[in-house]
Amino acid sequence: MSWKNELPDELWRKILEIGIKASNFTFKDLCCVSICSRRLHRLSNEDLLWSHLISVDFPNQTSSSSSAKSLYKIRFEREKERKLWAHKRAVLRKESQVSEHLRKLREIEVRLREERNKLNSSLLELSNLHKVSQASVALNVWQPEVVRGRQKQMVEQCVVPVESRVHALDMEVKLCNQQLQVFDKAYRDEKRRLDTAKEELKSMKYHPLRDYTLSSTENQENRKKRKKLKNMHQLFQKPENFLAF
Amino acid sequence: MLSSKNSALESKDNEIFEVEESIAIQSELIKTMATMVNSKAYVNERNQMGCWKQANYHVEQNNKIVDEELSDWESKFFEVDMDDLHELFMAANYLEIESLLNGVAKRVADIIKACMNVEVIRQTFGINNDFAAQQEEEIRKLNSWNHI
Repeated sequence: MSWKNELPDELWRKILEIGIKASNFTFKDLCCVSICSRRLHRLSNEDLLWSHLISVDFPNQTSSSSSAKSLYKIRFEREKERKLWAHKRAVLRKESQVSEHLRKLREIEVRLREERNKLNSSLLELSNLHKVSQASVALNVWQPEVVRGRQKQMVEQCVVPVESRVHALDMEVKLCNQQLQVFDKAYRDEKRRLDTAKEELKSMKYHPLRDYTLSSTENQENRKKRKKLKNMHQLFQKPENFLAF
Repeated sequence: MLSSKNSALESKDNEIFEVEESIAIQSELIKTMATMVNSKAYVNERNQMGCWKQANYHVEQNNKIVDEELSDWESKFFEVDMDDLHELFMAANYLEIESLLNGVAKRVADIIKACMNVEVIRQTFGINNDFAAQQEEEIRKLNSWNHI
């Protein structure tokens, strides 16, 4: 089974041409073929093939001279640079989004605390006023002198008109509760947004190789795992194995 | 069918095939030879059958069938082992049947595309590595600019 020796050049050319036009050959496939043998190296470097790739991947760009393959390589590397920087910018943007969400969450937490304090003090005052009104009611019936004395003291010490104050406090408690609900919802929403942004950031930063070579805790299992993955990592270093990506 | 005229073709193994003329002329070679008297085409028998089968199908289905069915049939037709594919290729080249040639070339291109790396390509096609060790390293470096 010796294809290469028996197929004439023009048939290989046809295969490569059709590969580009109909089988979605990429620059990677052409490079692979060119490593195979001298003849294939010559045949796969032809301008016709690479010009076609250029017009597909980098259209609307005026070309100067030199071989089509080296031109493609230049354009490709430029594009790669560009994409790298765009990615970095995107990661930075996402990170600032995350810190913005965190800041807002802190703010909401502060307001929640304030509101809860308000609520608690209102409730406290309410319970005191209830005691006072109970006392003034109780004064209308017979009480032992000790108790009566205490109750009289309580009623006299209260300087505010009890009933109206109770109404006002009831309103305030209601409002506080409403406000707390609003803040709670806002907190939940913001937390959700924060979590989403964190997830997005994580997936943006993910790199299959880099993450495996990081070490966290030093126990036996992790050491074994790292050794196995280190071998995989070395496997990935060889160019031909990388072509799967 | 366009015409009922059959031409007799003799293969290398001295077997005679009767083929519809309209199909026979799909092969450029036969077409030109037909104008010459007493000419014979020397092709391996098996491939004659294969070629005619395909050419026959093409002519029959030319105007009516939907594209998907044609490519389905074609992909099944080309699922042969590398040796057969090779012979089919050479036969199509010799007989100069354009559509068959393109079909086989596409199949080969797909096979290359499916190969994960250089070693697999070399194995599949029985290609000998004729680079010296140092040259090979150079070539690999030159061609690895696309890897991270």
